[in-house]
Amino acid sequence: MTLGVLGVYLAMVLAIGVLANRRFRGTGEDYFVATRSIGPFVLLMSLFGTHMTAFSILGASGESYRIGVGVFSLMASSSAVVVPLVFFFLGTRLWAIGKRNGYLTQVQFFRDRYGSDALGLLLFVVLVTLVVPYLLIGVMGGGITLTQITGGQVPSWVGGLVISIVVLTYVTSGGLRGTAWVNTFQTLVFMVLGAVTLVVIVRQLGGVGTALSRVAEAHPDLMTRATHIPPAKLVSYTLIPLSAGMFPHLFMHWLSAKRLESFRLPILAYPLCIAAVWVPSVLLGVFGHLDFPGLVGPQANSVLIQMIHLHAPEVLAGLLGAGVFAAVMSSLDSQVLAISNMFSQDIVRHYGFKDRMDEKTQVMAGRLFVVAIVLVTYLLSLVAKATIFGLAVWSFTGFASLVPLAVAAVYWKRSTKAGAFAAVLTTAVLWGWFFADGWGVPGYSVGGTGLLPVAVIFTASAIAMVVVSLVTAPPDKTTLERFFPTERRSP
Amino acid sequence: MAAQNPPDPNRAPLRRLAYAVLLVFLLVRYDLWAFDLSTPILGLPWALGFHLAYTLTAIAVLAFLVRSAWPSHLDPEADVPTRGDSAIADPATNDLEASR
Repeated sequence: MTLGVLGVYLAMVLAIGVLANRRFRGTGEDYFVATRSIGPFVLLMSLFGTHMTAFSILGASGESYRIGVGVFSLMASSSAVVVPLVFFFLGTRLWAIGKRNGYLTQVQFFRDRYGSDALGLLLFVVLVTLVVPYLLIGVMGGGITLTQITGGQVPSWVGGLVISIVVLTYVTSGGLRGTAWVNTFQTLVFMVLGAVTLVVIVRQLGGVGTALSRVAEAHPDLMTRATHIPPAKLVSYTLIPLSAGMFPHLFMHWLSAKRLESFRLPILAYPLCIAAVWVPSVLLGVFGHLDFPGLVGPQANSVLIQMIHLHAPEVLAGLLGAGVFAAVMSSLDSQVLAISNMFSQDIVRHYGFKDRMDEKTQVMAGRLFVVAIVLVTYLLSLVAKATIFGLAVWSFTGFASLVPLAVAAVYWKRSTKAGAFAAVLTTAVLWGWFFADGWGVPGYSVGGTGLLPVAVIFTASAIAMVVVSLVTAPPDKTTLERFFPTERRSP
Repeated sequence: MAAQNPPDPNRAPLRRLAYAVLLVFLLVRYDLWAFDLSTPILGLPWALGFHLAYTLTAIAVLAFLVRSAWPSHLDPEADVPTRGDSAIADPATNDLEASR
């Protein structure tokens, strides 16, 4: 029965994606940014659904299981403010620049802004590399969900495979319009079902107060942050949600906005959406100790699904499992489409293949590239032994550390090509160094201080951008006039 | 590229106030003095209850920011008033005087 409900849900998702294909106008702009026609509500659902992933559902509950309710203060309260501010200060400006110049990808913007093909190519490699761990947590989340929700009847490799195939199918048929429609549907599904999950399980545990008291008796350390969260960690976590400023998939959704005004609703409603998803995830993760004590490391990723399986009847378990699937797929689809977009625009078209391929063939090349990336990700998911939360934070660290580049490109006229190179290379080198040093180390921080690597990499990236820009020749007037047009003032 | 309108200079003080409020609000999140506090707030342990309240309060702060510092000048489709433009209402306040 559970599998039947999940099957029906996946069929509905596919149907929406295929339906969106009927609106496809056969152009790259329509496929990749829905001809910039997305209104406020679908934009909110797309941005939020894309941003919330297995990280926010399975990762957050798993991390709460490990370190307690303080997880909310690390990621949720910071994301609730920082992400809307990223939309406000970067999203609106990049949307305006993208609309004026007809951009479809970040690389197109940065390449033109700094007049460097090499910078564009470097960014392409760095961005795709950083997206892979992000894709990986989605595929892992799909596998975990299907395995746990069926009581182990379906192995995890099947869940990851099913999610990958479904996402690839509706993304490649519906493009961004299909992805936005499906995201809207899926975001509503996982927000509503997240609340239902909390109510159903908490009622069986005797209410929130009773459940919290029972956990506090056995694990008082999970009710405060004194034991598991150093203060420096709370401070440096503020930087992690800045990653939204460089996510290729969020950039793509920004460009799809119909008007500047479309950004108002996402900015204002984001904190509420964050609370709606993170409160159930964090509470249920902590409550997991009541039913499933002793889970260690990556085992805790599945605590939420195990609780659904234990407490919910079959049909409801299928629906709640579908909610988790929704959260996973609503991110995976946009990431897949963004990579496809980048390959089509930044490699195929930019490097001259456009003369040898018609537009549909270029889109097809993007689809084939993304199939290859998803295949690699899927194979990695079969051997990955990481926590979803930890894996995501490494990915977010890289993206967040590139944000000084985006801020300088949009706001600082004096920033130069050399400065941009310095910022990207600093990020790439330091991220690689910290990743090699800290991968697989639970609770890794810089020198054991609690400070996350993102604090060091972000600062170094910003300093590199500023210092190198100031010691190199300023950009030419043509570039400045293009990206900082003279403001029209009446006499 | 076509020239763009500058931000409305009449709204500069309100915009600065919004940025100041935002800065203070960002600092409020660092409740470092409450790391070992388990006092309930909103019926939840402090580490969750305080930050849930903070998250919900963010809606008001963001609303003030959007109201006071919305970058209307970026909208290529909007005819945003500039200094000297008359009889065009300020889109945020619908106030004819504000745009003069």
